[in-house]
Amino acid sequence: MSEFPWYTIVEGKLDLEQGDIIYKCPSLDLPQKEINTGSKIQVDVKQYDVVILSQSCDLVNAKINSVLLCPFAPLSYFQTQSDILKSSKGLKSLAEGNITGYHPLNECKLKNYESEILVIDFHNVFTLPFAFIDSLAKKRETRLRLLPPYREHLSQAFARFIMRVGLPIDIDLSKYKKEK
Amino acid sequence: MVDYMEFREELYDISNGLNSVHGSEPEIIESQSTIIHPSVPDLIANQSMKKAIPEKKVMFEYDISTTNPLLKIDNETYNKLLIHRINELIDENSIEIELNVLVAPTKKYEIEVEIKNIKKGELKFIDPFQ
Repeated sequence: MSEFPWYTIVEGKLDLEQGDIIYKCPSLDLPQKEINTGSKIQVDVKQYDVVILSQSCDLVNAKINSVLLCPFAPLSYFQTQSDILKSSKGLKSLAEGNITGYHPLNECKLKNYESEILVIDFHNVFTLPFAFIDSLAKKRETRLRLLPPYREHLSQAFARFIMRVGLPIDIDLSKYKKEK
Repeated sequence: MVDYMEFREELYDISNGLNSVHGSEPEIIESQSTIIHPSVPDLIANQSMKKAIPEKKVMFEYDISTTNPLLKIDNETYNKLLIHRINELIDENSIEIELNVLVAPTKKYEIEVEIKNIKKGELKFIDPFQ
């Protein structure tokens, strides 16, 4: 079977694309008060490792003012929070995309970007101005880029997360259970 | 209060000859808190519409104040849509109405931001099976 690498390293000066990975990306925590002209606010800056979810065609043609970003963390980080991710059943569910809101990316063995399996967290997407994230990425010499078809797979997983519909009444299948 | 959907519906009504404000006094509709989708100007700019009423002179003005969804600022105007001109061409019993939409520049807030601290963002695993 042909080899389909997950990642490549691209020059920082290249245009942003969906699947580009930006480490230590700042996110502002705005205060919970009204903001008016002339006001002075204090903000916390949180740094996340993020992957770009906005469509490449929108990014390359500068059709958007805000870029959709999604944070991720190593699998071992989430394993410290949940036993389910330590079990073979839970890991299988994660790999199959059956843990709502989480999407795994494979290990990376590229030099200077080595990482274990990463878990993308769709619950915490945020946006930053295009000009800001574009400038931040281009100031760095290189960056990691997720390659097709894994990039599209990520995009589809996010779409499935955001489009899900909760039903008021679940279908009860218990009475159809057959004893072996 | 006019929200985005109402605004769209009203434009739709105009285009279908169902709106009753034609021929009446200019109508100014204000909103207190409305989120305007960024694509609104694209949606309503330069729409040509036909209407089966004989009035000649029609003027509208919409003043839609919005919230800034990015900063979650309530009751603050950051964008205004002004329908500033309606041209009519009478063609038998119909009027062709052209809406020209002027989009005012986004209002800027001058605020002083002090960075309190910079720390690593933390994610919390939400177990969907619990």
